[in-house]
Amino acid sequence: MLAPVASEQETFRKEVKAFLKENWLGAADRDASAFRKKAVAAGYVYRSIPKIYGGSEQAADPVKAHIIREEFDKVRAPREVGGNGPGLLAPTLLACGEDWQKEMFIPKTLTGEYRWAQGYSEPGAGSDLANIRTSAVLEGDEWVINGQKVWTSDAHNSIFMFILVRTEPDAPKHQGISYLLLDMRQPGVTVRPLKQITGEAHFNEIFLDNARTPKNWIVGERGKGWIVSRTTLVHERNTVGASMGSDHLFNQVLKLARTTELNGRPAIEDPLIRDELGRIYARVSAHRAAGQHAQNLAGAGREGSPAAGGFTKLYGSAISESIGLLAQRIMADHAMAQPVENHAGPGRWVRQYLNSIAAQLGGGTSNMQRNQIAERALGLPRD
Amino acid sequence: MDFALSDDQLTFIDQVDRYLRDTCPPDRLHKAFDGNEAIASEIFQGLLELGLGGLVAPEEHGGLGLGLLEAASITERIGFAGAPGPWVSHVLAVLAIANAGSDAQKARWLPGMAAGEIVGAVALMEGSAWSPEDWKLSASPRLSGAKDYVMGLREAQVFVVGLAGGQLALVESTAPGVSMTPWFSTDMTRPVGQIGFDNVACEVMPQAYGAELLDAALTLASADSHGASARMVEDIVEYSKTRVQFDRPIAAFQAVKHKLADLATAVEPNGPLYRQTAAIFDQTPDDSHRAAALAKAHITEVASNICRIATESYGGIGYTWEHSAHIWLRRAMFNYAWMGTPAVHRARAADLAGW
Repeated sequence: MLAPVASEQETFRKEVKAFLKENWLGAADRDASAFRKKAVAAGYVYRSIPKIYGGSEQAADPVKAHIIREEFDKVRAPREVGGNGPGLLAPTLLACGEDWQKEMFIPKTLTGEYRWAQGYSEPGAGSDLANIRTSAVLEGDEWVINGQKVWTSDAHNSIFMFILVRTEPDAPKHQGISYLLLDMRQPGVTVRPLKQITGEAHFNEIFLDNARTPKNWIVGERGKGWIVSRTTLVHERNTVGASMGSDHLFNQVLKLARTTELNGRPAIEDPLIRDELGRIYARVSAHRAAGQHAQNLAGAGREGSPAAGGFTKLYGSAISESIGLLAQRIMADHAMAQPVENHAGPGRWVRQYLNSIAAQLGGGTSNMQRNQIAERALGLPRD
Repeated sequence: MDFALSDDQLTFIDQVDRYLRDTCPPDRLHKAFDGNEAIASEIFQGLLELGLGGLVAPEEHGGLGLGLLEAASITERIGFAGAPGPWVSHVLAVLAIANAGSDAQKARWLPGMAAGEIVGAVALMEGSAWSPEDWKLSASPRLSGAKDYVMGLREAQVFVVGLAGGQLALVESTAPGVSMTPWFSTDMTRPVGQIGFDNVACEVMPQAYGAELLDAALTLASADSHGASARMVEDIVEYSKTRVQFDRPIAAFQAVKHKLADLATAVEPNGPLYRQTAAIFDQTPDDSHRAAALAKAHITEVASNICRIATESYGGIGYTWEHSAHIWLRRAMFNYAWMGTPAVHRARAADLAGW
């Protein structure tokens, strides 16, 4: 009837489990970097990065990558260092950088010693990112940079920034941009935390006032920064685990419904709440099945839909919104008073409800995803 | 769980697709829809002759010995084509006999059904009662009463009739006391009606298979609806590229473009969802009730909405009888209502989850 599940996958999973059992001591193990070295040596992390730059240089295999993620996450073992460096800068340097740049920046980025802020968005350049105005002018051996960046994640923890700047003011807008690297530890760089509607500050505004960077800290050619910034190396596209966030959030709202009283009985007994839970759970299940399908296809070496990333983001962020709305219904009067942070009760969900907005903005707004799906998957005309 | 289709399965589905494309162009579809029984029968018989009649029948009885995953995948393509005929009813009848029938019953019916010589149908709903727990008919020892919304009244020679306790009985269409009342149906590609029994001789099958048959019915309805909605999206996308208003194709308007992107996004995961549901039926049947309830609740509802929105998106032409949109919209409406509405199955899925 069906082909038996490939036992090769199960063998690999056993290897990963055995590695973790021998090398990861659990939460008591404080030395993540020593563990990560062993994980690199075993070929489990930094799989797309050459060994000479500190990676493990493995052939692309989305199924193996997914198994590694699953098994590492189960025991909460550290995988790649988080942040913009390993995920965005390192692949860009590998594709477009010079060898000395790769040698200088990639190894220490992978260990977490160098953290990177992403200097892309500006007050006047959001969805229309190519509209950036921050300028860089060559003076002798240095670029002199002036302007403002916004939504710069992790800037307060970072010592470097990769930044899009306008170097050719007279060129058409996409052709006047360059991709520079910048040391943030200098007087011309001011970092101001940006307070979100949740009250937290995960992002920053960056003010650049005659900030300087060496002439050769440019990635790719002058005026080619737009293309450099679009170079996302599709090594092991992660559409497979994309529904894990939805699953987690759903389980939380289910727990909220079980533990919160609404009209004198547990909210989960209310038929309207049950119906909405059922609606959302079906979408979560469909999202998960689509991810599983992507994994099956990848395992068989077949292509998925050209806009799978757009679909999964639009679908997932709509689920997040629905969960936020349902939580608000369950919270009822609690939604009027926010308890102190880390409170376990319904008031905690004020933050989740507000945060569901971010899911529809970050990484390309929902309307930008719709454009992408319409143009790439459906072949509709560009705006 | 791996529910990706193998190369062999895909090749097979491609063959079916080609057949459907050749035999179901819009003009023939409309004739069948408007009551041309010869065209409808020709299309359906041709499907059975491709070997699909015994898709889920065991090989020793002349079938292909395949599972619900394959049957649902074919059903999706039939829904996509809008093909007329009681395909879903026939597959369910074969599945029931293969799993609940005695050796003699299997030997009597399955080879002919597999060869496309005998059409089977299921007769399950009693009024709005879709659940085996609410079926009241009993064969004690002869059968009296009626079954409603039966698909395949005209075509079937043998009916699998749901009885109290989830039992199933076999009734021949020519048995004395059997009466058929066709109804003017919403989905004229698959007209339904009432079958009446007045002290009719029947054979009860040894296994009580009603609950499993329900899961299979819900899964096939989901697959059919998914196919119908995918077709509607494909067609309206093409139309929007060619229909010009205000000097440009309407697809260039963001109001249209974004709506189409939303429809495509809603369709996209439903294929994996019904295939996973079918694979659960085949491989881990303990989880099947909840999975099938969930898929039916979600897919038939979403697909119905998609077909409604796509039809409206055509503008006036989509509101005409001669346009094809309503063929799929009505198909989706049928699947939405058949064997219990989405809201009912959603509530059932919640109960089954222990919420």
